[in-house]
Amino acid sequence: MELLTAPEFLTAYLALIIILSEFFLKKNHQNIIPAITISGALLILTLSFAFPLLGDTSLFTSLFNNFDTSLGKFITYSSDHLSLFGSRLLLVCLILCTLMSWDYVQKKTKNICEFYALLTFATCGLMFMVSAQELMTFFVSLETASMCLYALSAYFKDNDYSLEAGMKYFLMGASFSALMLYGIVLVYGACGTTSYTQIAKVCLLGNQNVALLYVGVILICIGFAFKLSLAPFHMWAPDVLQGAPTPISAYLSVASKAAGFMVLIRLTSIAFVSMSMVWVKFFLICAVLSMILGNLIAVRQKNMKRLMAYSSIGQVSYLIMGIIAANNFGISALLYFLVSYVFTNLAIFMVIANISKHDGDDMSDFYGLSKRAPFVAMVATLGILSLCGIPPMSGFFAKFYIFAAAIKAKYFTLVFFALIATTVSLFYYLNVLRAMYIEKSENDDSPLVISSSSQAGMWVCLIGMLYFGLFPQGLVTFCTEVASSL
Amino acid sequence: MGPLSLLVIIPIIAAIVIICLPKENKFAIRAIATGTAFVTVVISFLLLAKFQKGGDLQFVEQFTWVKELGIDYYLALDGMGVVLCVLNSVILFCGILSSYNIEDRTKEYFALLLILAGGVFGVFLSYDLFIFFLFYEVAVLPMYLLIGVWGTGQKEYAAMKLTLMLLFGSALIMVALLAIYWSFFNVTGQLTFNLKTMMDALHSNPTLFQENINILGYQIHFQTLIYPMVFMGFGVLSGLFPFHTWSPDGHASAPTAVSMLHAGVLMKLGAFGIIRIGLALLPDGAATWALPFALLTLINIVYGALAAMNQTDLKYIVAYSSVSHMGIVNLGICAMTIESIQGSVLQMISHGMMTGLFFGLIGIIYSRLHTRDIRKMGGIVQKMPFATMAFTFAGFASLGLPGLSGFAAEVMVFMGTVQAKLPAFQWIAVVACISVVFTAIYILRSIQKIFYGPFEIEKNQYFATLTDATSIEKTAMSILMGFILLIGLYPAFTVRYIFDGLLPVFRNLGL
Repeated sequence: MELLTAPEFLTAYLALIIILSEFFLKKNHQNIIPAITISGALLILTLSFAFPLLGDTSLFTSLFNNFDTSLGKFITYSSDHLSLFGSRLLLVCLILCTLMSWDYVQKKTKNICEFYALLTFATCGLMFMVSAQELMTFFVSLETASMCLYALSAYFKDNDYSLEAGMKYFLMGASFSALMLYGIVLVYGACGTTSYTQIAKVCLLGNQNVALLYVGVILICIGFAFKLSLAPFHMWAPDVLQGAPTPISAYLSVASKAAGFMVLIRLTSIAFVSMSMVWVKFFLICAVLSMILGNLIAVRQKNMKRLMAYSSIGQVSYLIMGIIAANNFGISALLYFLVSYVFTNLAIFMVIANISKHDGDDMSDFYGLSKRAPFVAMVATLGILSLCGIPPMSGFFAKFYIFAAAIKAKYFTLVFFALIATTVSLFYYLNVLRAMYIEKSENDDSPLVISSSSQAGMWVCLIGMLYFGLFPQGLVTFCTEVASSL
Repeated sequence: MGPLSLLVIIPIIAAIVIICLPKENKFAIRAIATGTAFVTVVISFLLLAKFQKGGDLQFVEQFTWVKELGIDYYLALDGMGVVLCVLNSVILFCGILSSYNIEDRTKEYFALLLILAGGVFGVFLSYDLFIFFLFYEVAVLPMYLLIGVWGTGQKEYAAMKLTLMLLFGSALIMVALLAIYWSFFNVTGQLTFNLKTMMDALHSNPTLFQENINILGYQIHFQTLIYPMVFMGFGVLSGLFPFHTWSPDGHASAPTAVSMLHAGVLMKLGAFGIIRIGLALLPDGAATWALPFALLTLINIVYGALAAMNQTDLKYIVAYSSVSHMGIVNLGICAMTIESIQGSVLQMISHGMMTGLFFGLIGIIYSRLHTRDIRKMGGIVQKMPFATMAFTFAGFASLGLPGLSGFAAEVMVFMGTVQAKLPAFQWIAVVACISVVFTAIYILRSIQKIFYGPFEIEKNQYFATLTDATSIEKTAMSILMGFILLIGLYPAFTVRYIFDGLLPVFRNLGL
């Protein structure tokens, strides 16, 4: 029962507090609710560092265990190193996205409370998803998070793009969830259990229906490829990220991907470890396609959010190399990359949210930024450098680490594609630098005013990128610990 | 913190300080930049004075950076590093003296220039493959903004081309380094990026780096696969044909000091990397690929010189001449004899000083005439005697006049090439020697067109107000001329340091 004080549950309580607080607050609560969200999340984050809780629970065991008699009881949900890592990272995402939304949401809508409540619920769902130890718990938490995110994508009711984003995300997300659920059912049919560890045990015995199992695994992998926006299942990402409110685009591009990767780590290194030839091949194809498509299409983009969506597809294709490598080294590289990716992507979205005029998010908003707002331009520059993998930013070490993992596993051909992809990606990343430093701003040379909450967020991202780039030792140790604990 | 870290960190700290200064205070910005460059000159000369020959690494600074991956922050000085550091600090100092006329965004300009120089120092001093690569990337990227913002002409195109090509090269290098890292781990079980450890291990354990790698079903020898990645990855930066095309565009568009640093020092990083990593760790691969790569470098030498003959833009002439001269550096590396490799390193120093001088002078001429087209010049010796003298001096060094640095270096390379194991190298050396004639043609032709002939005042509207170099510019150019002359008169002084630094490389090559 002490797990009821785990970060996941605390975040759920926080979400409830946010919803309830609207009834007790007067009309001028604009600033109080984001403040509650941030301070709550900070408190949970501090607690997770002060009292890291490791253990497991059979809270929901009886519910699903009834299906199975021969394999005995199993854990549905546990708080181990990976889930601790996930909770911390997702809380950081929540804090940074709240900082980003503080000003942004106030300007566009009056319904503030639900926005933060949904965001916190989504975080909570993602945290449970990372901690889940069996497929049903995983699926339920995934849907919890997804439902919140569908609503959030369409949050600005009078903006057509936002509505389109919400609708598209919902329709496609729901269909792919259904596909994934079907995969889970097939795996259950083949193995007779949904627990990760028990699936692994059953697969080792090798007397199950192989065709059923393989189809199930592939369907689950397709579901993941959709959530992680890997090509060829990436179609939703550019439209949704362009239309959704910028903080939500940011959240979608970092938090849901980070959580997805952590679950994928669990599945590939525990449940489906003996079926590696199936998912390695699947993700190999996805990775190469994403490297090519994501980066090539990004070259032509003029809308910054769309560009970031394609850039994310490219980045995810590097991240998935950690899964493909299928060893502890790859997992720790992937975890390190995730941390770097969170800070980097959020930094750039933070800049986009602050400088875009008339909801255009066009590249031309960046013109002359180095003169209008030197600090913001510097944050964007360092973020772009981190995405390019230039030292001393964390992206450099992350890329080095993940390439090392791929080469350790001897995927030279994959690395060759990644090389080409990196070079192509430089073109559009450098174009952003060009917009900021070389292009002159079209009509408006007035200095840009940035709200203090966004400034704080930018500082956090900046320090995160630089600190983990210059002193990676601590994080690498932690990632290695997590990887070896699986 | 030891002297080597200081050399790397001082420029970077100065860059941060400059960023924090108010942008109106241009005097302080320039003063800090000049002071920093001067300090690096002092430090590198002190290192040169304190350096003890004998083949040992000196002033070693080592501490663990990431334990799990075996990454050390490991700086150490060898004979090759110390002379190249001197080169870098001198060019930096002269480059900063030549960029006092930068008025637009002065602050960012000097900050980026110093970051670049810090990265270059780091590359020359690091003995850990990871740190080496880290500094290499630091040195390459600032170029995009330096050319894109302060450049002239087709600057955006040139900056993008240069950055994309160089970073593609560095991506190749990254893969090669990682392959070396894992291959070393597979044999020794030691997870390390330490170059010194690897070099020593290779000497005592010949089974290192001998595995076969499966590429799409073909078994390829490790070194046969990885050496070209190292050679071409670094070769992009050292202007290897066919990856040299960034160099003319990039150098022509870059502002003066950036051209000086880039052609003078950065291109040397490429050749330095090939020697430090390619030759020292992959000797078998180097032997396998010697002839094909030597032919590429021969194309460099001949094609660069021929292309320079046909240019009318002064910067393009010097840029193509750099391509040609860097070809000589790379040829010396491919020939793999004691003389030729030493000659290569000496040619790096010599060419660094020489192109620094060239680009500095072009900056002076361009700032007066506002054109770089040699058809719009002529007879300006009357108004610019110092510039004429200095340009002629650089030209003579470039065409290999005995007594100046270029001669000693080229002779060493050609002599070494003739002695190479493969007989084909003798023919390569002959062709390369003949191409020196082309150098004489384009150098003498441009000197004649720019400085001599009739001084027709209607040819260029700026002829009326033409002035010679200012005293600051004269100082910068004179320093470089002094070095060219000193190295030319007494090359043995520099060569001894170079030989000392190359000892472990020779040992691994079995020379």
